[in-house]
Amino acid sequence: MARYSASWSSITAAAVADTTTFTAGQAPGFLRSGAATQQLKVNEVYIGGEDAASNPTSFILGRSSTISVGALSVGQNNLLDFTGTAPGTTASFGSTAATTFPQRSSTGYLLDLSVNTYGGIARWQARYGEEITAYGNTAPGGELVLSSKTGTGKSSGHILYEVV
Amino acid sequence: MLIITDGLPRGLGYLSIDNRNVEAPVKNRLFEADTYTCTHCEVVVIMNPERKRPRYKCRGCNHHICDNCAAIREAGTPCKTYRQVITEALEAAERQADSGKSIILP
Repeated sequence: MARYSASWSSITAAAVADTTTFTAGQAPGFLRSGAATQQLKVNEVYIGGEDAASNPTSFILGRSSTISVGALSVGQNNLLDFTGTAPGTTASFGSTAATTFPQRSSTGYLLDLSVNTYGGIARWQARYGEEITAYGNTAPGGELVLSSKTGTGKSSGHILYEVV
Repeated sequence: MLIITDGLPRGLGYLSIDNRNVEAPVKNRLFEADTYTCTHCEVVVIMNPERKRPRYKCRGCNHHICDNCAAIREAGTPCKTYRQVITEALEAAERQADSGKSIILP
């Protein structure tokens, strides 16, 4: 199956509460499944802090309570295997949604990566077979949101995932 | 034959919070911990090395689950993994697609 890297560069997160609609550039990114029966498996999340001063930030990877609508932009989403063929329908990643921005669910926290973005690094790797999944194109299963709940850290990083 | 009896999860994920390059007072410069993924809700559980209480292993799916799901399971809710939820949704979608193709003859 096709494995992808979704990445973002130098995004300064905003501290956004649960069930609050994001606006452009407030979060590292939203990873949305591309179809009603498409499944994604996330097996690595990496966050590298880029601030010039101390800035403890709590990055949450969680599910959406309101799913994004429209094309997602500002973010890279590339096949890991150069010789690989993309599936007919791919997932979307970005920090800007063309139509509607998502909201982070208050009950769907999957990872809480707290890091001081003044040079700090957070990295999580799943054991094989224990990946975080997203499924379908409706909330809460169809989208994963990586965002800050407290702190306004600037970061770059990636999410490695597989389209099943 | 080796029989493991400590009841701890096996084959774990890995979390690293590396603040060694942070030029500010930080309590824990490098935090590394094993993780496992709850099969019921898919939350990633960071294993606290200081924890003494046993971790709940669901007998339904034979896997360690998070404390929240353990409480729900203990209250009598049957085991249902997140994968099962997805599989059921996939099968339902497939059945729906199949039913759309059927031809009803007069």
